[in-house]
Amino acid sequence: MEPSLLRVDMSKLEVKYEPVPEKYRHLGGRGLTSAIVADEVPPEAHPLGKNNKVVIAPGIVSGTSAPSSGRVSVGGKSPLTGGIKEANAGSKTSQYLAKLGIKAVIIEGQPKDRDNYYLLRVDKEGAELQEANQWSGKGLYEAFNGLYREFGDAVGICGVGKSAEMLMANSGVCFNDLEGRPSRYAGRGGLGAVMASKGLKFIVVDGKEAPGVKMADKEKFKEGKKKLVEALQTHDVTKLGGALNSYGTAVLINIMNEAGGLPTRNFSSGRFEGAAKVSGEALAEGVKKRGGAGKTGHPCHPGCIIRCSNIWPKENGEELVSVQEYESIWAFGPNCGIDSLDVTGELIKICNDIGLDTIEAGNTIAVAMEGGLAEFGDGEKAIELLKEIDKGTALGKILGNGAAFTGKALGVTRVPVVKGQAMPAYEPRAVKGIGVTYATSTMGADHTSGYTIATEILNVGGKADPFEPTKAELSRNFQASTAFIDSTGYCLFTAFAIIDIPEGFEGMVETCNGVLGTEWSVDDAVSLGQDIVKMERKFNEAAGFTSAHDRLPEFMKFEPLPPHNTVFDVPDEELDKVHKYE
Amino acid sequence: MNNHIEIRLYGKLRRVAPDKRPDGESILNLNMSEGTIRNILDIIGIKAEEVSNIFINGKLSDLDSKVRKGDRVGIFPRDMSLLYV
Repeated sequence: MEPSLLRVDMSKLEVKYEPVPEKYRHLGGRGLTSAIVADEVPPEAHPLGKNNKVVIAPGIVSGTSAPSSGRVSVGGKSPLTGGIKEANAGSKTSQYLAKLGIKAVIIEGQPKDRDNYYLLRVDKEGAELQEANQWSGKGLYEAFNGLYREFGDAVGICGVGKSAEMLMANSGVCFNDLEGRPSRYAGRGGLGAVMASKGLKFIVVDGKEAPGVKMADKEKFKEGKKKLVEALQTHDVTKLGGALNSYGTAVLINIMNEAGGLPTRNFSSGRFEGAAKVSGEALAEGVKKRGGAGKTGHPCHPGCIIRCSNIWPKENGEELVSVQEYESIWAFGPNCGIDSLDVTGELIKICNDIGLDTIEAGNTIAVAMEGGLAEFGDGEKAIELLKEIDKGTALGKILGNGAAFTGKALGVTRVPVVKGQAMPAYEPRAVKGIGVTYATSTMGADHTSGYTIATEILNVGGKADPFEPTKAELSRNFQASTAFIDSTGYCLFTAFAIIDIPEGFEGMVETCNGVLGTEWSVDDAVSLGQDIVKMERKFNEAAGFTSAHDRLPEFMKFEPLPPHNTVFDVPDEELDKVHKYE
Repeated sequence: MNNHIEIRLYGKLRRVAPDKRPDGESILNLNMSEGTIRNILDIIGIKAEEVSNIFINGKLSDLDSKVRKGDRVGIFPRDMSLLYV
């Protein structure tokens, strides 16, 4: 079967399959969502208006037997940043779409009547829209269970929650995990609100008897896969029994705390005295001691060989939530002065249910604490505040629009955002390169768009002094290679193994060549990534972004951060070098 | 300033500290005025090949880095290195 684009016109409530234009044939994931958004969405469009679009694309090798390749990208113009956005998640939905030959789903238009919600059903016979009002206004745990009763529990689901229905700018796009939880989020940037603004509540994908991914050169694919699997299985980070698999991503809590770069109490310190209690070690120990439903080494999609996810049990062994990962634990834990995994778990579960991104939500609560709505460390009050969002009260509508909006409402000056998007769990005053990425990424403050931590803190791919401010080149290179990986469908964690083991990177590129029939080298891959970043940058410039937006918040330039007591001293000229290409 | 070197151990390396709890603070205080990380590992009974990230006062360091009294040293085992989210 030839791959196709599935276009969903929400103005006319029509769907159609289109052939893939030549220029998109070798794209996938982020490369494809960004290309379609750049081609079809006017940069000045209102993010929640009829001219914005949501594009959902599996990666180049998603749906094949390539290891850890079930990522799906969601793109559009972000209501949080006002710029182009790509967020991705690991989910079987990615693999089902790819096996059905769908390179991208493009959701466009807006129904005149805004009272109805629809769902899009996709299977081997085709696609159709149907009414979905019975699932609107409900939590996603309840709604997803209702969908399994109707469509069977094997389906892949992509959906948006109540916060999206209320068009809040911190609404993510949620995918189901292997056991059916609403827990795998393409969370950042508010694309859930964009999808809801079009009246689309769910996409239900049935992968049964799907024809599979068309492959240009099976032998080349197999050779590449072998190299990549070997790299992933030998690297200390990605192998079974390695750091990610044993402790989850939260292994980083203790590492970043020791490095003095774990943002604490709304970015007022780089060390948290309660870090050990919310660390990856505490998590693994809790899972072991409490037993029951608890689990580490949990995969987010079929075929993942890293398996960094987990299920956190209550004291009695019943399931509380999946997943407690580094960013979410940090956002609600150290950043809010909270030192309990049961409290962070409760807060994450509320986000899963309402439809919120945890990084933005945790930063929002921390800003609210700074603004006097609660004391730092008050878990009960934090839970109450998140529930205001669920209820849609006036306060809830402020909080649901993110950290910048909340900071403005409460007169807080210490608001850790870039281009309106809140910072993840690495403090730029202690790790300068990640600050360069936050400042200059096309996405707003986003660690995944150029993870210089690998080199600055973890010695992966060389070694760089985290306090040295000359980081434009390091960040530029990471941003380019990341844009490529985000296009393949591979999990970004494969980067550890492929940065350190050159055959692994070759293998990754060869699997792409095997699927597409291309002859890309490793250097080509990086330059393809660079092209994606340039394209996104062009969209943002047309949307009104200038170099003045490629800056960190002012307080980081003059408030020294303990324990190192350093400020963010990367000169503006250095930041402006990131996107000055030869 | 403290009159000792404060060693904070993580993961499997906690075994040589009095508090071995995975969610606790496994701290060893060494009464020595200076030395290298290698010297310290010898003294506390940890092999160099067991170790990955080493931080001295929050700065990434290596086996030959010098440590003085008053310093805080964080040492991670190999199976906890190199993580990102």
